[in-house]
Amino acid sequence: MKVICPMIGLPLTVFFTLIISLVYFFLRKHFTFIENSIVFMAITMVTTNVMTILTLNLKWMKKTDNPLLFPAVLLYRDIIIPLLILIFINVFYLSFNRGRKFISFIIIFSCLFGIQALLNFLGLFEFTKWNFFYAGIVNIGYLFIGLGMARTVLFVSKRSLKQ
Amino acid sequence: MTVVYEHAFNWNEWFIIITILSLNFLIIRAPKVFSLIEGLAYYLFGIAIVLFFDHTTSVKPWDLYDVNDNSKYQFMDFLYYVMNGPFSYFFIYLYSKLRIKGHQTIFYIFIWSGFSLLLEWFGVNIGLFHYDKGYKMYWSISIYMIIQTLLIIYYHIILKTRK
Repeated sequence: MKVICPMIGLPLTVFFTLIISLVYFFLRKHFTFIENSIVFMAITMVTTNVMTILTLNLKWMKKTDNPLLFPAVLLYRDIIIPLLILIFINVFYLSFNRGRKFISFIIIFSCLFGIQALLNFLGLFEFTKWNFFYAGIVNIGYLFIGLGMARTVLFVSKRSLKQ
Repeated sequence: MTVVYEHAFNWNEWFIIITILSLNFLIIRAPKVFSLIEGLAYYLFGIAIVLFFDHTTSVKPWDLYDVNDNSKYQFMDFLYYVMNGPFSYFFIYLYSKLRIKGHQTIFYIFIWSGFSLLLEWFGVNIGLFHYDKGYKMYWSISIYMIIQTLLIIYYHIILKTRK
């Protein structure tokens, strides 16, 4: 399917970035600023490494070569994914029952997967030896890494209080 | 196409390893100023921000320079990003220890930007960075100043949330 206006990718990514940032900003948070920022930085490191290895080393997917569209890739890699993970871990830790935790997992996974699919459709990414099944697994991986980071940060935070 | 500059394990690799070991040893030995979680945050800041800038400017479509022995992403490149963690830690450590305030901050940023530029010049000479693709070293001055200003802002936000 051909996109009528390929440059729509950038404003659309900016739109998503703003919406997700606002959702995160007004969200009731379980973690403190420093804890959230540590998880954010750790997730950006993971997403950046994953994307570079997939595109540059393995060449399993391509990202846009258009310098005007490239900021959209950066927004997706360094803000959209980490903020969605932050929203997930905060909601996850604030939820008391397993059902709500599972629903938050499904919603955030759908957002991650949906945005990835949309950016693919808009030509920001192109799968060569990659497909949506693998992309889904990577997105689930991000969510679990987020939970792992959250646990680690809580542990470090408790140790810091004891100091 | 992958550009290969060299294959040998020489100065650039040793520089990274020696810097990581010595600076981390210094972090452990230096009198503690921050709690564990704060120290971790400042340490990660350096890694995350250098990773972000490198994987933005040294990959396509911009692709302005290469790090280490070839244009692909290698484990040694990752260690180079880890190497930046102690620098950002000591940047804030000295800022806090020397009680830098007001206009002194400007001089402090200038001094650290000069020091960073000197390290970069050293890195270019030992083959850590390859600027054959058109990157100019003086472009880094503005990047250093932006990063250091952001780090100081981050420090002050953490100080505020601590109270």
